[in-house]
Amino acid sequence: MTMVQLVYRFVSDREFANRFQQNPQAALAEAGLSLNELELQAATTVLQQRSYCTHLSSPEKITPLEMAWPRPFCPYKMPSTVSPR
Amino acid sequence: MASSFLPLQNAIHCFSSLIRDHPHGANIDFEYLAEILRILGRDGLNTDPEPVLSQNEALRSLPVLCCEAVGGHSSQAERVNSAWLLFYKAAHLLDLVEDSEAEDRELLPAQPAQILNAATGLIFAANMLLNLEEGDMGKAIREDFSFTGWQMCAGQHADLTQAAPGLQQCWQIAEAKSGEFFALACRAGARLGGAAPPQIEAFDGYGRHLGILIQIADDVSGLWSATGERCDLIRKGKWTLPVAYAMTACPDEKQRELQQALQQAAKDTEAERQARRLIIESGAVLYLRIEAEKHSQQCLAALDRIDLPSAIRERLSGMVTEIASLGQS
Repeated sequence: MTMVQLVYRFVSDREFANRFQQNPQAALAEAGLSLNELELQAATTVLQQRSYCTHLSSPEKITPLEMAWPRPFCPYKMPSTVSPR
Repeated sequence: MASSFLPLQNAIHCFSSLIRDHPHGANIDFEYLAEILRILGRDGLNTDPEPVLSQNEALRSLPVLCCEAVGGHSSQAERVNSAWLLFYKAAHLLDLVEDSEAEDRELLPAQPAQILNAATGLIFAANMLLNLEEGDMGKAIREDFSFTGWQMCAGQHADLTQAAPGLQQCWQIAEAKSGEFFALACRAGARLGGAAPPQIEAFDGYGRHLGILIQIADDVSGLWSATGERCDLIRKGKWTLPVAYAMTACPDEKQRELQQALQQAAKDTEAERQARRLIIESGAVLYLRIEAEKHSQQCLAALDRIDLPSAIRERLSGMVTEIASLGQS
């Protein structure tokens, strides 16, 4: 659940988000959170992409990701030959 | 090389030949056969130049790709690849009925009962194909398919019976349904190509994490309606990964707000939008993007444990990168 706590703190506390982006290890220690190496690497890779912060303030703008992560890869859904329009 | 292998066309050919060449094949009701071929052909006979297709073809060719990856010839795995695809299609049809989504789809039989009967026929057809695999290898492959199918059904049972699963339960369901199915494809292909147990284990890990990545992608894209499909938020009583995350992460007051929006989303577009906004603002997509990154790293680490021809490694890692690239492009 540490990752859940980290992400929620990241999206609800702009100051913490800034500190995490500058120094992930220090921000985690300050929040009393501990991640293993794989989790830390994944969290750092994703959370340091600031573009997410702008999407988060306008959820409807995130819809282009539907095209970036298209439906044809659905499990149980035979990949379609037609991409979602 | 798998580039010339056309997985769905091959599955349709295998299926047709199986029925046609059977001693009693002439007694089969032609209408039923035509219905099954129509369902299969709906996905397999068109061509589309979009780049995503190359990854779809690779995804559909996983057993053949993994067979070739360990030095086998594609012909060693083509029949099993076809059986796996028939199971894939059957699982898809069953899922549509179980999730009450069948009515959204064009070109499917009108009645859920007919869809269930088509799915059942596909499962038996896949088993007939697997029965053609000979010796100890054939026995091992059949056992693997049967047990994996059982695990997936258990995962689906949990999915159907737990209206509000916790986040941890959602991850377990994702692994049981999707992770196991793609792990099966990779294991079977590697085994048919003559892989040693450590290699089979590595392919199992690759397929398992790939399957979970696919489930993440499905659940995230399910936050929005795609053409001809309803979004997951208006399928009342169904919690997917983003919802389970939001209900875990948010304080009580936000949870109640989300619950209320979800309850009304089926009838009220504004409530659907509100539910989506609350979920995204809770960081659900961001959280799942991080989890996708983790699973993609684990996929690539599994590939690093196998000595692979560069072209095949590129195809296997390309699938991972594309599926995991949510929102980055």
